[in-house]
Amino acid sequence: MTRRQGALVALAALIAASAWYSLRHVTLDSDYSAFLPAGTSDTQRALMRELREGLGSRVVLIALGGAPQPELAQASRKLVAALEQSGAFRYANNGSGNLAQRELALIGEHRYALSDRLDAPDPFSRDALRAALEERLASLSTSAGVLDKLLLASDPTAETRRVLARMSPMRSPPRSDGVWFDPEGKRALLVAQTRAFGSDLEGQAGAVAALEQAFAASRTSGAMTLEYSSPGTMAVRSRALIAGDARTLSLVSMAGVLAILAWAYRSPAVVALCVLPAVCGLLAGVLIVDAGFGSIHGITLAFGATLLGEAVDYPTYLLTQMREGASAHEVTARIGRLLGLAVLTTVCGAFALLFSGFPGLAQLGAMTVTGVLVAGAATLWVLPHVVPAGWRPPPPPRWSWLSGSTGRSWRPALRWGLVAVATACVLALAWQRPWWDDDLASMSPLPASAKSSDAQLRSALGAPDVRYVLTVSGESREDALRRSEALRPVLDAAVASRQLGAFDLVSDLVPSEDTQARRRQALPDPQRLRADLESAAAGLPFRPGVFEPFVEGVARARDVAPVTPETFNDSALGFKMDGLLRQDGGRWHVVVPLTEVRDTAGLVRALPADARLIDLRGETTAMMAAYRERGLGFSAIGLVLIYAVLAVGLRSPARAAKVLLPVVLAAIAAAAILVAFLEPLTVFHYVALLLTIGIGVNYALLMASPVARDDPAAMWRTLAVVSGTALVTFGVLAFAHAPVLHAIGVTVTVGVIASLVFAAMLVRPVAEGVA
Amino acid sequence: MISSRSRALDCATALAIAFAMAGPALALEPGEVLAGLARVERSDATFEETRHIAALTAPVVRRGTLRYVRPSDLEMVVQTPVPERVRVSGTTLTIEGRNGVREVRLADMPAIAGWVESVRATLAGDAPALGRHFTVRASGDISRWQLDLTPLSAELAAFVTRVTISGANAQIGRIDVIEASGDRSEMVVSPVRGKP
Repeated sequence: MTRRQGALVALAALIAASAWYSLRHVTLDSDYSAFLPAGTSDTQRALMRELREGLGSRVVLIALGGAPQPELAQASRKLVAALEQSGAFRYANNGSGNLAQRELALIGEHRYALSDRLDAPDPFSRDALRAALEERLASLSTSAGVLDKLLLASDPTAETRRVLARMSPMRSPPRSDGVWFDPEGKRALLVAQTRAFGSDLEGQAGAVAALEQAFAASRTSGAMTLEYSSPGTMAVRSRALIAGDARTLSLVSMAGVLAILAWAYRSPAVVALCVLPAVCGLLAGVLIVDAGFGSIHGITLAFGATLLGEAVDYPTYLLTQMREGASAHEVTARIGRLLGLAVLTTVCGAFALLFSGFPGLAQLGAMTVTGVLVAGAATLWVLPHVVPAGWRPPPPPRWSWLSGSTGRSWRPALRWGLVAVATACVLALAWQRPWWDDDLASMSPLPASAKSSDAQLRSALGAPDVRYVLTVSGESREDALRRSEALRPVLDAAVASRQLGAFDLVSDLVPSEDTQARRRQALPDPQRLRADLESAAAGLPFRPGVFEPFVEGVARARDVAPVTPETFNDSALGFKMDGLLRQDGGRWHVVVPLTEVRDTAGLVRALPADARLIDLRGETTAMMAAYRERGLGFSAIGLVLIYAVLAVGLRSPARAAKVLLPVVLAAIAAAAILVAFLEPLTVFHYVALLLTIGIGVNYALLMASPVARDDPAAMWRTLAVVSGTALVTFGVLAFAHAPVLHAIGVTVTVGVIASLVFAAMLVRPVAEGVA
Repeated sequence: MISSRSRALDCATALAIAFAMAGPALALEPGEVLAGLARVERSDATFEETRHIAALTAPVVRRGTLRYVRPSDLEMVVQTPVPERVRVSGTTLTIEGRNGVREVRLADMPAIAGWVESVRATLAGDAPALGRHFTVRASGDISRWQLDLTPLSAELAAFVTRVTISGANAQIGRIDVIEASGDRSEMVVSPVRGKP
């Protein structure tokens, strides 16, 4: 066995072993939230967790359409029953009213624990009872008295109604045939809550399946349609989109890269050699990411295919420079420095990815750094041993339009083109296109149509996005509830002074144990209540003994168990409760949704020190901006690193600057072109810009190298291959649904083209000055 | 001459109908009563309602006016003992009372909707609307008829056991309601004539 064969066998064994290990032991992750920001402050982290796992993430909005109203109403009723039976849903509501009864019964049962009348001194005095009875009598003489009559005997002081009046009314859609419909009457509307958390993608996928199945069983005609939306089901759909992308895009870009290599080398064996270091890099990347992060994301894997396009470049530097009579080792010695610099600058380009603060981007960064380093090492130290002795590439094509080393003929044309693009960019920017996109929704991989359908269902169901919430938190549930109770007078005053439209306080539904104990103590004993009632009813036409259920109810309330959040389980109120009171990080948080906030400054002044007003929209925007700035900061550091690597590698800070300058200009131009013609920038574009510099600088290095002077045709071919593979892989990436892949793809594609143009215009071979 | 001829014609029609029915004593169809009511464009009346409520030792008596305007406006103004104005128009119910104005969508409250419809659909002579909420039986004859309405839905039956409306020709005279709770009320309706 020759040395070459030995090296080949060893390498093949190593690759096979790591491939086997990867398939057997690497965990594939597909939760898109790795590519959503985790938040930079406690508030933002809580907010993002809430979006992913909170109450809202479990609520599915459902619409049935495509049939006449009575049929839709019938299907809607069947669907509710089927959903509740499926086991995947905790709760389903179509407005048919059975639920309201359940909730009313619960509030009625606990009316004395919940009513703030009990906070007043002597709430059931003779005078208070007299006033209540006179009021009931008047009410019996009105048209609505019929309803009042139901509670007359058990609740003559109307505590149930008092409790209900304090809760902000739930807006609900109009009803037809007894169930909710959209305002146009075309679609029956339902709301359901999944048992699974929004972050539990398997559970959410199960709920989607159960919903589809329940619909199939409930539809009355083939024409009937089902629409649904929820953060959880959207996550399930995102996952499917991303999985589809990963397969298609990897295959397409691999095919593209292989085609370019086949064109350059016309030899399957050499193409295979070229791919070898890249495969090593990819496998090493997968193993490192899996070891470092515990799993590897589907998106990272899809990105790995793109990385392959970058890593095949390194063998290209070597192979396209092979000459008659020169061994692979000699060529390696000649271009070793160039290759090393190319590898290191690309590694620095991934710097911003690593530290962007997104776990997903950090995976991409780790993948890039590992993959590029290993592929580079394999090219430098393994490839020379396995290249067949005496092999040389087919002669490079004579591109007449590049006409020699200086290419004078095309430079003016390029310049005019540049002027045109720059002018167009300035004009487009002058039209006040936004530079940044700080909308969290832009991070979702779903198409705009899915997002707008969600917004439409949300508004039809009267569940608009709340913009402002108030939060207080405490050491314990009791502490948090007490603080919530303290907000009552402040918020009442704010409503009275029109700073605020309405609010929803969880302590109205679950008062602190303290308050409940005080209210229990305020309840009179049966003998006293009976006596006071009798004297209060004197002269009124109430039949004696008619209020005995009231006396018994009060007596029962004196030693009933306190109300807890669990009291309302499996009712719409429990469902509301989950959103308003939550335990997180050892503390209890009360969330108070506010509607129609008209005077934030005034409200903030009036609030106690422990309460915080959060502008949800402002907070997410600030968070995205913070990530953007962080991305910018790390990109700057990455840029400095690239410069340092070049300065050391080229042994001249001035030459390093000459190589780097056109690429930095190209990155700026790419950003301008993106904003002007394609899309505003997110943090994903930012980190991709640094990656662009890391890649583009390789082209400038190549054009500045002695190779460019000695054999321009070979240099252009090398450049065509390395930039061609980059354009193919990143160009394909631009078609990904996942915003992160799309942003990286489109930025690098535009950036690579710009780098080529700027480098071709500004970079001369090193020896120019010497000659 | 003309009048006697037309009376003869009426007799002929009545005979024809009687033969066509050719049947037992319960010859009156709800449709006949409602067809007469359906020709009334607008009606004004005073009412006196007596509510017998188990919890009270004496009945509550309410007095006021009723007005119906085709097709779907019904207004009840209560003068004593507690002034109030209740309006049903299309699909909304508005109550102006001592606690201000309240407006509800009838579709949101199926029980109330049935209740309102028992009176309004009868006044409108709208058999399909009535049939959505009640089974309707007629008795008597057209000059002294009675409609018995029994709720169809459980939601409505939880409130009302039976509504009996009686009248003469195209005029309602009395509405009796038996509630599920056992309480009942009678409303005597007297037409007001000579209003513009």
